[in-house]
Amino acid sequence: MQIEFARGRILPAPRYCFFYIRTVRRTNNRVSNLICKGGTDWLLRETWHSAVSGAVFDLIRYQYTNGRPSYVEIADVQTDFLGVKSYDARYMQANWHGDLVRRVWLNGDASIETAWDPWGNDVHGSHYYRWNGAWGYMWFAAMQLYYVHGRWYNPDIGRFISPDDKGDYRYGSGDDAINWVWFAAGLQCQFWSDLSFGYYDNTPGQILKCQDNDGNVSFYYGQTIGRGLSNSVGGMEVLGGGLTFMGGGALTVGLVGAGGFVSVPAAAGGAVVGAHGALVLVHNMQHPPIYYARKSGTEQGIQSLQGANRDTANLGASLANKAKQYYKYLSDSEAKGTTIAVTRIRDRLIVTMNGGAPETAARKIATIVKAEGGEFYQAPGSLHAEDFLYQQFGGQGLDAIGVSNFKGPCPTCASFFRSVNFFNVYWDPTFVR
Amino acid sequence: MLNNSNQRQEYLQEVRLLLEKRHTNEWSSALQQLREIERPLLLAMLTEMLSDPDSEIRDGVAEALLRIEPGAGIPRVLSLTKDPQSHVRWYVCGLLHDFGDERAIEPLIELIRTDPDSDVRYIACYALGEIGDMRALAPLQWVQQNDQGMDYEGRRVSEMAWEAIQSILAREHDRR
Repeated sequence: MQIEFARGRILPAPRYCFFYIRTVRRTNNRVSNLICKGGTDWLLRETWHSAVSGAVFDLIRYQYTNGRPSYVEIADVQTDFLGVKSYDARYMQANWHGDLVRRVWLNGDASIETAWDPWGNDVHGSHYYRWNGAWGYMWFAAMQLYYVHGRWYNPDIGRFISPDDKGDYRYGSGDDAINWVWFAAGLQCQFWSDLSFGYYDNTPGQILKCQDNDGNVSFYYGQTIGRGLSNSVGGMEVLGGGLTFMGGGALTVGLVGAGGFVSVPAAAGGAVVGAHGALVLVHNMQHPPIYYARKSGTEQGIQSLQGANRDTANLGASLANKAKQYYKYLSDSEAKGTTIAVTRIRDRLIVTMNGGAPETAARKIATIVKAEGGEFYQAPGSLHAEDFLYQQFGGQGLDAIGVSNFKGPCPTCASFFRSVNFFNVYWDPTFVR
Repeated sequence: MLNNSNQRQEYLQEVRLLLEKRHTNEWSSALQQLREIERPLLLAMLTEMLSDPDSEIRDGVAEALLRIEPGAGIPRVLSLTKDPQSHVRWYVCGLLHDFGDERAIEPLIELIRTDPDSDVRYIACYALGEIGDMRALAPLQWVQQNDQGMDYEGRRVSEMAWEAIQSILAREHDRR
């Protein structure tokens, strides 16, 4: 059995498809064919009519359970997708240390790239997933699949077909499945030039901008570094050397290839994301999803307006914890209506409180802060703690601010901080003090 | 169990002293001491103290119940969503965000619909975003469209309702 695309291209059906069932479902802008079912697994082909571009394209969606639900979608956008001619989706495979070793097109064609193992041996053309059993790769001949660290990998399509340990990713949803990604919380994300952020170069697509349905920018994901290869027609590939987002707090991904995730995310410093980090899968103009990211965070789950370098992220996390620690001293009637902001400038510990906070709360925290040798200020009027702190000390070498509110800075303050390119505001999103 | 009322009062007083340590650095060790009390006795005493005249004690009881015995604690704590003190309702919503489960959904829905305090409605939406399911969608949508309230720093309740809806939808999508 094989899958034939609308424009005549052919994708071999996965070999784990044991039973053949055909059903057709038509909705407003798509036709779905359930063409294969094996146990609880299924394979769905949909023809989409994009509401955004008007383009018609195919989407192949694989669903595997293997004990936990997961799926993979592959979009065929061969022609004229948003003006990108001769688009050809393909999946890049990287070996365990990140070298590009194989490109796979949707029709199953593949090219072999030069690659070397850690000892300098030319291993191009070899099946690198099989060569090192110590890394946990197992070949299941009956299924023609690899089992890699608890995940299934399909060499036919060059992709993992089950999620990583972080779980609940998805992609390809929405009418414009290629150019946009959907953030788990309902935000949309798009690649963005990083030049405007003052980073190293202007390679398009290094910044991921995410926004809500009203077009308000919600946050940015940081810049990638350590790319072994970058190619761009309005997009990027991240291959080789591992993909690292700047900002230890932010995120890291271990070995990443467009062929799928080769390893579980690697921890680098305090960079493993916490439970509150939301998972994102990234598409770009040229390629199907090639890596995923999580909202910036540290292993404590501390969040910030944007990823930062590791030192700043660690400082921000400690400040957020400090703010929460002060907050803990307040009674509940005091805490409701109070925000505490904390920073350190060289040897100075500076703590502020919002203008509307109860006097008893201000007196209590002032006493504690002063006992620690710090400085305490309550904002005048209705000024917010973090806003006041920045206005008073922003020009004195302020690197990061921690705030006690579980939602972080309010939208007005967050907009202000973004407008002055100060993103290092950190908070702990858990409520309990 | 306790033999007489004097002994019971002594125990209650001891538990009360431990709960008063909630805003100090000794809270962790106080919780540990509470955990060491025979569980049925502890639950009985904490349940009784949910109607303590001191609102800070009521908050402390709620937190202790959810930290020590969330399974049995949640139904007991839900009574505090109708507490006359708004900061108690606010705090309990936050606790339900962190420790709650589906049993808390209906009381939280009631709060987002009817609570007079916008800080409470705001955090009730936040909690529903964390633990809510499809039942909460319609009420949240109503809040999103109709609630003009803001929390103490100007965050809109309606925006939090929108965030909660997105969280629930994302979670439900993953479940199916």
